[in-house]
Parts: sequence; C-alpha cells; structure tokens
Amino acid sequence: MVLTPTDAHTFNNSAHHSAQNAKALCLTRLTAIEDLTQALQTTRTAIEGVARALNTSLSDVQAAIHEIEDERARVVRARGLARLPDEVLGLVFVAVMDDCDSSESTFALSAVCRRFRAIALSTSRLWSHISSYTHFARLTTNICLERSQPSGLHLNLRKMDVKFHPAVWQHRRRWESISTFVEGEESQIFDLFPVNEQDALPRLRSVTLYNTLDTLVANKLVKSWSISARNLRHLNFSISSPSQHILPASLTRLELRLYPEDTSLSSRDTISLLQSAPLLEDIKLDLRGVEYFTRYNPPRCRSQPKGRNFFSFSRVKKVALSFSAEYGLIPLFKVLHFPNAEQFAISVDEKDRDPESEMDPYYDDEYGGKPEREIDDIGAGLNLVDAIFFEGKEYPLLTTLSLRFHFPEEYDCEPDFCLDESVIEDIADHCPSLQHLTFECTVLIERLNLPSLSNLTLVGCTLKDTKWLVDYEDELQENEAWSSFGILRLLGCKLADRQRSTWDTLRSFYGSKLELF
Amino acid sequence: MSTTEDKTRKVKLVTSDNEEFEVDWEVATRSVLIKHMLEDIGESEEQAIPLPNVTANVLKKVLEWCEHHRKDPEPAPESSDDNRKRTLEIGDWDAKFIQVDQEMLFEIILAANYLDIKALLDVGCKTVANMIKGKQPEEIRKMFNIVNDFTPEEEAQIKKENEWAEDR
Repeated sequence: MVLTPTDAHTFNNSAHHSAQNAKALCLTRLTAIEDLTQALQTTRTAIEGVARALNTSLSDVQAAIHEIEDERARVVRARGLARLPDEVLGLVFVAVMDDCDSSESTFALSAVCRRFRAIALSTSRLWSHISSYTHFARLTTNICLERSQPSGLHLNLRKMDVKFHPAVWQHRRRWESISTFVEGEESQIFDLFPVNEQDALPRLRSVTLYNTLDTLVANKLVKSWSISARNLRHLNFSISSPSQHILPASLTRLELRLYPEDTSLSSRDTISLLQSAPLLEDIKLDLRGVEYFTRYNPPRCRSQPKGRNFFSFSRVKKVALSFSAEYGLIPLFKVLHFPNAEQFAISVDEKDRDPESEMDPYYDDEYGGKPEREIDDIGAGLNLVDAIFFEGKEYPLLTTLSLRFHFPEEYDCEPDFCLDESVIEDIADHCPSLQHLTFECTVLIERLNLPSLSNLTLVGCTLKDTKWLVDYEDELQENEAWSSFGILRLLGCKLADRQRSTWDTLRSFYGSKLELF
Repeated sequence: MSTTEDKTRKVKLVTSDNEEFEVDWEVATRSVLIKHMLEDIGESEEQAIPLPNVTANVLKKVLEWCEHHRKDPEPAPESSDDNRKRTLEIGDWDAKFIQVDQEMLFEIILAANYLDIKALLDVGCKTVANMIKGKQPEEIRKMFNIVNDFTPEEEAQIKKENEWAEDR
C-alpha cells in the first residue's frame, strides 16, 4: 500500500494505529452510552408509569378526601338539624316559603321525611299562599285550603278564573291578603269582592291591585270594603286622578301610584284623598308620573304664624315619596306635613325628557355646533326637598332618613358639578332626633356636613375624596359621639380622585365601624 | 326604654364552660333573655348572668353580632297587618358574619333561639333556608343525611300529592 502524504499526516487515517485504537474506544464508549440511554429510557418509562399510578392514586385519595369532607359536612348538617327544635325548623320552612311566595316549596319539604312532614303539617301558615298563576296551583289548591286552616290565606290571582275561584271563595272568611290583576271587564273584580255582604271578609288586611282603576270602580270597591272588609289595613293601588276618590277609613298603610292622564293634579283632591283615611300610619306615594299640582292652601288659623299652615297627618310614622324633579310639585309638598314621622324616604328621579322636543333643531350655537342641553334637575330636586322639610316644618321624632337623588344625565353633562355640602345639615336642623341616614346620589360629592349620626350609609355615590369622611370621624370624636356611632357603610361608591385618597385611608380611621362593598 | 345610665353600664355573662364576658349593657340587651334577667336582678352590677346553654366560643361570635347591631332600632313586633314581601336576602355584613363552618352556624342558631335574639335567629334560619330553597326532597335528604322513613302508604299518599311536579 502506498501512503499518500495526506494520509500520513491525517489523524484519522484508517491506517494509523492510534486512530484505529481511538476509534475502537469511541465505538465502545458510544455503545456503552447507547446502552445507558436505553436503560435510562426504560427506567424513565418505568418512573412515568409509577408517576401515573401515583397520580391516579392521588386523584383517588383526593376524591376520597372530598367525599369524606362532604360526608362530614352532611353529618354536621344532620347533627345540626337534629338539634334544632321543631319550632326553629318551622321558622326555616317559613323562610323558604316566604321567599318564593308560594306553597310549592312546602310540598317538597313535606315529602322529605316524617319529621319534616309533621312540622310542615302542623305549621298551617306554610300552606297559606294560594296562586292562580300555575298549573301547580290548580292541582293543589284544595290541599292548601285544607291544610292552611285556621291561618289566614294569601291569594295571588292573575285573573278571576271561574274554575279556580269557587273553591277559594268558600274560604273567603280566611282571606288575609289579595294581590290581583284584573283582566277584561272590571266588573269581574266584584265577583271577588262582594258588594253588600256584611263582614264577608273579616280577616282581609291587605289588597294589592295591579290595574289602574277609574274613580267609579275604585270608590265602589272602597264602599264594598267598608261593609265586607272592615279590617282592611293595607291598600296598594294605582289611580289616574284623586278627584272624588275616597279610601277605606280603616286603612293604616297606603301605597298609591298616581298616573294622571294630563300630568296635572289637584292638591286639594290629593289631600282630601289622604284625609279620607284618618288612621294612616304608613304612606308611600309614587308621584313620578305627575308634573304639576295645583295650588291649595289650608284655611289660616289665627293662632298659627304666617307661613306655618299645613295639612298635618299626625298619625303617620312612616313616609315614602317618589317623584320626578318637577318644580310643579312644590304646591303639594309645601302644605303636606307629617309632624310625627319617624322614618322618611325620599326618592327624586330626573325628569322624563323627550330630547327631540327639548332641542330646537333650527338652533345652532355661535360656532355652528349643537346646542348644549341645559339640565337642572338637582336644583328642582333640592327645592322639592326644601318644600317637604322647611317652610316652618319640624320633624322632632324623625330618626331614619333615606334620601335618593338620581340624576345620571345631569352627572353626564356636568361631572364636576358638586352637591351643596349643607344639604343634609339643613334638613337635620328640622329633625333633631335623626340617627340613621341613607344617602344615594349621582351628583359628585366633595363634602357633606353631617350631624352626629348613629349610622351612615352612602349608596352609589361618587366622592371627590375621603377627606370629609375623615373629618367627620374627627368631629364625632371631638363631640364625644364616636362611641355611639355604629357603622359607616359605603355601598357601590366610587372615588373621583383615586390618586389623592383611597378607601384604605378611611379604614385606619373608622376601623371595624367601616363596611365597604 | 333605656336610660343614659343603662348605656354606660357593664354586664357580666358566664358561659357553660365558665368563661366570663364583660360587655356593654346596650350590647347584652340585644338578647331579650338577658334583658329580662337584668330586669329581674335590678341594679346589681356585680351579679353575673349565667348562660348554661352557650359555650364561650359561640357566645363570642354572638356578641360580635350584638356589638355590630347595638344601635339597631328595636325590632317591631310581628303584625298580621304587615304584608311586605319577605325574602331570603341577608344584609352584607350579616352575610359575611354568618360565613362560618356549618357546626358553628347551627350553634349560632341554637344560641340565638335560647338568648331570644330574633334578628340573629332570622339570619341563621335564612342561611339554612338558602341551602334548602329550590331543592327536591331527594336532594334535601342527601344534603342532610336524612333517611326516607315514610311507610309505603305514606309514600303513596305523598306521590299522589306531588303529581303536579311530575308534569313539569
């Protein structure tokens, strides 16, 4: 063999002895590595198998733990339930039934076990809700009528169903409350409320009518109740005009919605309507459909100072008024007074606006742009509240005030406009016993001057910052009123300037007396 | 009607496991039972009120509720004239308060019933009612480990009563 010069100097020349040895060594090592790799691979597969098996075992153990925890929870619940006295379990059943306003849940509860059934069957109140709305109601009415004895019945009737009605009618002496919507002929309502039957509905306490009734029908009903339902205490209904209307004299609680056809109503008629129920203690008026009340002043008493002439409803303890920010409502509010009110709720909504009629399509501003809409609901709202609380009125017993100003459009137009800081303070000057205040407002709040309260709840408010609330805590401490302060609740409130302050600042001042949601 | 003196007064309560709690009169008298006991013993500040049916850890929790609700107006007596809709909704604070293990939940209900704290009993009952609400009998049995102990005759009667549910 002839070696070429290149072969002679090349390390891996096949003819080179050292190269041969090195190559053989490499091959041996390579084989060893390959064997090792394979062994590792086998081990890896085995380990993966073990890991899979462990994972499966872990899942099984976790499932078993979960099952044991569930079982433990069931045992705890079972033991808890077993320890509850029957009357407390009865209260739980009543809570379930009250929530759905139907006896449907009672059927399910009475089918659980003998103890549940015994409690359900001995709690007549659980069977007292009867409705004509569902298929269930039609099939179970007779059972409910039988088992609810001697409790009062609570009827929820969509219409005067002739098939449904006779069975319930037999038990009319137990009717306690009726909610109904009359469809078709209004005369059907008199199938339900007997016109001339003396004391036919002796236990009837509450009537809710979802229709808007005309004066003739409503007055006929009131007349019939004065004969058949002399214990009627609560009436919830809607009318289009208070003119010539009367209320049952026995009423203590009224929920009235006024939906006038021409948006204007007579203050005199509205006051006469309220005066026709002299025992009223709880009044809820929804006047959101009214834009204007005519002026009506009570006759002046010589002994009364000028401007202090009201129509006073001295038995009323609880008042709720909902209305739109219409200046036209002031004549009524000015003369209404509830001197012994303990709770007052006022809800002011922005006016219903028709954007097309409010803006002149031919008008351009000086730059040729769209004109800006002028909205002043807060001005009107505050004037209306003034008419309720000022004008020489005092509310010495008022402890609870809920005030809601809902003007989202105004906030959109002028997000930097701040609410007058003395709004609450001015009202509180006329309510020396005020303790619980709930305030909901869409207008920006920079500061509110407040009296010393027991509880303050702000709902959906946008606060410029929290400084004023820190100051309020300071004032309470200074006035030695901090120990009697209960809680500051901030529900759904926002901070306009998050850089200047945070809710955490408040926490360090109010501690456990702060609830933030 | 409470007087200013009452409001500054302290009340001693002793639990079944002999732990003593000293609380404000206003807090303690959220319990009608304690209120009546205090009326019975008069002005004596030293005399502790024994509460043999409540342990210390439960009383601690109950007093936390009473402390938070110390300023609440007195609950009005239930009236048949009041037909306002009652719901299972629980106030935010109470909902947080009652997020306890279920053993404690039932202890709180029992304590509220014994101490006659109607509003707290109401919170507890609503919490249990929320567990039950909308469930079918079998689901309720499973949830509370309840054995179906009806006789076949009772079972048949119940099935007949509940025919309406089968049509749904």
